[in-house]
Parts: sequence; structure tokens; C-alpha cells
Amino acid sequence: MNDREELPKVLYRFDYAEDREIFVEAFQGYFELLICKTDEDAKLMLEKYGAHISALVIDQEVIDSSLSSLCKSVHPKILSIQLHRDIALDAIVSLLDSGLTDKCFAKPYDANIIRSEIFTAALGVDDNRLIPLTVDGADKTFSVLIVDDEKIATKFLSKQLQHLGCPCHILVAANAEEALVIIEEQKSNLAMIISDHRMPGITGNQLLSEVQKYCPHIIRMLTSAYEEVDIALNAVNEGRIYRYIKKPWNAEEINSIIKLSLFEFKSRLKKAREQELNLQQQYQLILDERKLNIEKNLTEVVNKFGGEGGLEFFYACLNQISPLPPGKASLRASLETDIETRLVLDFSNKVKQRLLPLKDKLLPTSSETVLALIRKLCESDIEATQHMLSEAVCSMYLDVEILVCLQQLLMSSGLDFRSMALLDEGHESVLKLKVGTDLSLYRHILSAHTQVSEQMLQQQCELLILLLICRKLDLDIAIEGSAQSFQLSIKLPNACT
Amino acid sequence: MTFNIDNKIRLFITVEQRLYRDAVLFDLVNQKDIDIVGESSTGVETLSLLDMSAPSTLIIEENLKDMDGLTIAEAALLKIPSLVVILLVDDAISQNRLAIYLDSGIKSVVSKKQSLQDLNKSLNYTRNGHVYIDGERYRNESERLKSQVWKVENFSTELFQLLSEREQEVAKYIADHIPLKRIAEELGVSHKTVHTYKERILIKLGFERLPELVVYMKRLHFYSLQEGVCQ
Repeated sequence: MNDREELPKVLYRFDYAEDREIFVEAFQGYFELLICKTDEDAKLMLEKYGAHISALVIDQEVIDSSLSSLCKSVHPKILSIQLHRDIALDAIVSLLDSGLTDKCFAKPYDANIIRSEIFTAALGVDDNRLIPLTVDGADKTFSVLIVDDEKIATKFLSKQLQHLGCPCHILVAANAEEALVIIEEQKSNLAMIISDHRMPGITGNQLLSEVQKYCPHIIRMLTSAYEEVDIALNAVNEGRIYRYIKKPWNAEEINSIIKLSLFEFKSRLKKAREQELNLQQQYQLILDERKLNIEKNLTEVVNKFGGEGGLEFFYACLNQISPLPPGKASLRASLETDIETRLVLDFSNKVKQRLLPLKDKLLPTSSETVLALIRKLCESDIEATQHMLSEAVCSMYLDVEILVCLQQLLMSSGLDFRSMALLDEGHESVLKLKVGTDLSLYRHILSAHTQVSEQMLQQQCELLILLLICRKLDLDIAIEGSAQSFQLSIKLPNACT
Repeated sequence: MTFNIDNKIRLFITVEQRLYRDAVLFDLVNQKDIDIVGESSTGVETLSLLDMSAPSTLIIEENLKDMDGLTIAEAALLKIPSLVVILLVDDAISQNRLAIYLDSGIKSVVSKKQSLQDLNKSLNYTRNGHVYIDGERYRNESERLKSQVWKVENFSTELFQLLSEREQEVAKYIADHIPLKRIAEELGVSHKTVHTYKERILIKLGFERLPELVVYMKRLHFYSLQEGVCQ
């Protein structure tokens, strides 16, 4: 989807006019519908529009459509949907096995969900979360967890699998509760889970739904001895299961499914790592360019205010803090929107504007005024603080501006001066955050961004100004960073200088 | 991993303006499958309350005083990767922007100009952690205008005319907050019959809950008065 005018293209293959009418009624206006009565017409459309097609919808009572097969082989990113009046469990099992269909809906279908699926595919959004990088070691032996309340059957299957040379460690659980404990302990070793649906208490479907939420990288398979078409369809459409295995179990079949799933799991692991590496590399290039542009815009004005090395000092402080990591969203924002230009220009302009009135301020001859003000601020509520600071900004002295910067940094963290303490240490006083209090910093000017927010720009600008003023006044300022937060302390002289 | 056996939505809501937050909460608080577990007006406070409230869904406004909602949502997702986040934006956003939001882990985006029904739809469709895009927002402009005209025309007369005379009578009583039992007495029918009328009215008008009918009837009344003045 590029422009509002350009609707996602949907290739629709139907057999019956009444089905077509219902489909057109539900989807016209939302998508550009390429309607085909024959496979030949559909193949021509596929050839003509290719990857510009967002979804293929097959509204026929068939399972092995040659069209889906062609579509998946030529354009694997096209979302493949099947609509069925009646579908048997065997058909769902073979749909999953073939991997040619992404979604399958029974009629009457919920058009809202199908529209959402197609729009999601058209936007190129991947609903699957990446494998956490804590799951390590592609060569280690991973585990499979089998969950079934029929303990004897599970034990027997486990032995048979071992005998057949199963490539995974086999773990068993007699119910969902036991399974959850094992998953919690073994999640970095667990590659797949095979769960029976009908169990006392929590069902297999519910268990897999939770696993999908909390450990989306674990491959999930459902088994059942019953014809539960609705459960299976729902699980397929919500991306909950990779395979549906019908009971009674056949150890050889399960062993080959485990081998296949392990291959899939390792491929996903490899792909996730490659994507992560690629993302880091691409983002580093973006950051290097951004840094260069900021320097072009600000080095002169910053050096003029506080001497050389001001920006480097700012960068060094930022590098101590771990902001939110880059992801697909921030990469897309940097590559496909004007976010990079805006970050550099808006930040530079803000800093320039902020520095302009400061250049005329006087260097203090005594820090007594500012120390007295800090003592008052540390005991005042927000209203009183704002009143005192609005009077203080009229001061001719530069050191008072430190408090203005701090006020903004505290506000961005939902704090005020009452979270700070002024400690008398003989010849100097140390202004620092009280124990257990941090300043929040989720993103900084050298981190990944998904949008340019005024709040972030303001926070960054005030942090830079604070550092520059401290350098100019030769005040010792220390920043200790951690995950999305930092500690700050400033040493202020007590005696007259 | 905690087991959410009843699959209830444990909802945390972060909206700066109190009146707006209350309006959303008052609508959601009566829904049986939603537990309101927390609320806040700021982003930083939201993050500090997440551990304690353990929500499954977070509705968060895009523009907050201390930090933007998207950044807070991303920080929240780092803490709780399974969290379903619905972002409330001031106005409809471009498809490109939507793609960035969804890539960052947001499950649905609802504009403040949409109805509570739309927010409910997003809550419902995302409850299991799936992305939900309201197709209506990205529908072809001319088709959308057509449907808006249709809605306005029906709002004044046609939609209400779909109801039978008896149903219209019952709808008016309901709008005046007359209990079903008293309506049954007034009409000389059983309580069960009135209940059936109520259900049929809701289905015909496309509503899910009584407050929607009450608001519709108030607007219909106001609209009729306006038409009367114009005539």
C-alpha cells in the first residue's frame, strides 16, 4: 500500500456466482479485486501483476489448488487464503502439511478479520516476532515437549521415538500446568511442543495460545483424536500451530514431523540472526550519517559557546546509556520517511535557539544564590518550583540555567526537584538524585527512532545544554547510564571564588 | 508465564485527559470479559505500574505530556513482550506510518475520531495478540463517502423505519430509561416479549449494547427537532 488511491490488489478465484457476489459486497472499495473464473485467467493476472498482488483468495471447494502452488513458488510473500463452505479435518491437516495456504476461513466468514489480514500483508508487516537472541547455539541438541494426560501412551511414544533416533531430547508433561513449568525452565532449549487438545483443566489449544504469546519462537503442534474442525481452523488462522497431528499416533510419522520441525526451527533461528545482523549494520550506517549531519549543523555554535569538544562530551555521556534497541520499525522509519532529516534539523534548531540567549549570560562570581535556590526547590511542590524557576530564568547568571535544564529532565521522567538531594561535602555541594531514583531516557539523538517526538527533542536539548553549561563553568558533572535510564550528579563549589 | 484461563482482557489505559479516559473506562468497565487493572495519565508512571498490574492489553494515547506514547509502548513491550498495545492517535494516520507502528509491535491503531464500537472491535480482535487493521480507515475515498451518506440518511429516518411500530415504541421507552418490566405492563405483553423486542431492535440497528441505542434515540430526537425547525 503506497498511497491512499492505490488499493492493495487481491486476486480472487471463484467457482460459484453467489460466492462471488458475497465476496465482492464485502471487499469492494477496500481492495482492487482481480476476479477470475478460471485458473488460466488467474495465472495470467499473476503473471501480469506478480508481487504487486497482496493476497490470493481461493473461493473453491478444493484443497490442492494448482494456483496456490504456483503462487507460493513464484511469489511466496503473497498471502494465500482459502474460503470453504465445508472443510474436513483431514483437509486442514493437509493444508498445513503442504504449507501452500496461510489462512483458511469457513463460511460465513468474518470479513473484518480477512480485510485486516490482507491489509497487514499489503503493508509488509510480519506478525511473527523474532526469535529471542537468548536462544543460542544452532548446533546444540534441542528438546521437544510432548503434553498428554494419557501417561502410558506418552511414555510408549517417547520410548519409540528414542528407538527411532529422534534428533531432540524428549520431555513429557501430563497436563498444561506441568508443561508450563517445563517451558519456563527449558525455554532456551525447547524447539517444539506437541500437545493433545483434550486434557482435564487447561486444553491443549489454550496451552499453545499461551506459548504463542510468551515464547512465540517455539514451534507448536496440536494433536487430537476427535474431529474438532473449529478448533483446528481457529488455531491455523491465528498462527498458533505449525502442524495438526491426528491420533492415534504413529511414532515414525511423529519422528519425521519432529525432524522437519527441527529443520524449520533452525532455519528460523538462522534467519532471525541474519536479520538482526543486517539490521545492526544498516542502522550503524544511518547513525554515522546522522552524527555527521548533527556535527555539520552544531559544531561551530557549540564550540563557540563552550569551547571545543562539547559535542564529543555529549556523545560520550549518551553512549553510557542503553536506549531502546533498533528494530524493523525504526529501520523502516529511517529509510522510508523524513525522520532522519527532521531529527537533525529539529534538534539542531532547538539547540541553536536555546543557546542564543545564554551567550549573554554572566559567569557567576558566587554559587551561593544557586545553592540557596536548589535547597528551596528540593522542598517545594511542582507549582512552587515552576514559579521559582520562571523568576530564576530572568537571572543574569548562567548557573541558574542548570536548574532549568534539570527541571525539564526531571519532568521527562515524571519527577521534580523533590527527587534530588543537595549534599554538603565541605568545600563543595553535590546535587544528585535520591537513592532509588533514575532519570528515564528511552531514546537519544544517537539511538533508533520510530518517530520524532517533541518531548524527546526537548529532553535531548536540555541534556546537551546542561553538559555544555557545566563544562563552561568548569563544574564536575557525572553521568552513569543503565538500561533506558541514567544517574546524574553535579558538584557545585560552596565557597566564593 | 501466567495462565489466563478465562481469556479475559486485563486492561491498562493511559490517557492524559481525565474526562476522555473516564468516558472510555465507563464504557469498558461493564464488559464481562474485561478487567480494568490500571490507569494513568503519563507514560513514565505507566511503565512503573506495569509489573504490579500485569496487564494483557494496554491502550495508550500517542501524545502524552512526559513522553510520546509510541516510545512508552515500545519500552512496555521490552518489559512484557506478550503485551497487546492499542495506540490512540489524534487523527487517521497514513499507511506508511501505520506500517511503522505495527512493525514496532503495536497491534492496532485507533483514531480518537472513531467510535467506541471501533475501539471495542480492536480490543476484541487483538486479544490473542494478533494485529488488527480496521479496513474502513483505508477504504477507497469514494466508497467511504457513499457509506457515510448512507449512514446519515438512515440516521434521520430510514434506519429507524426498519423497526416495526411496536419495536419503535419499545425503543422510545428504553431511551426514556423505563424498565423492561414497566414497558411490558404499559404494552400489555409479557416481560419475555419485551426482551425479544429489545434484542431485535439491537440487531436491526446494528448495536451491541443498550447505551448505544439510548444515544442513538437521543440523536434521532435532536435530529427530528432540527428537521422540524428547518421545515
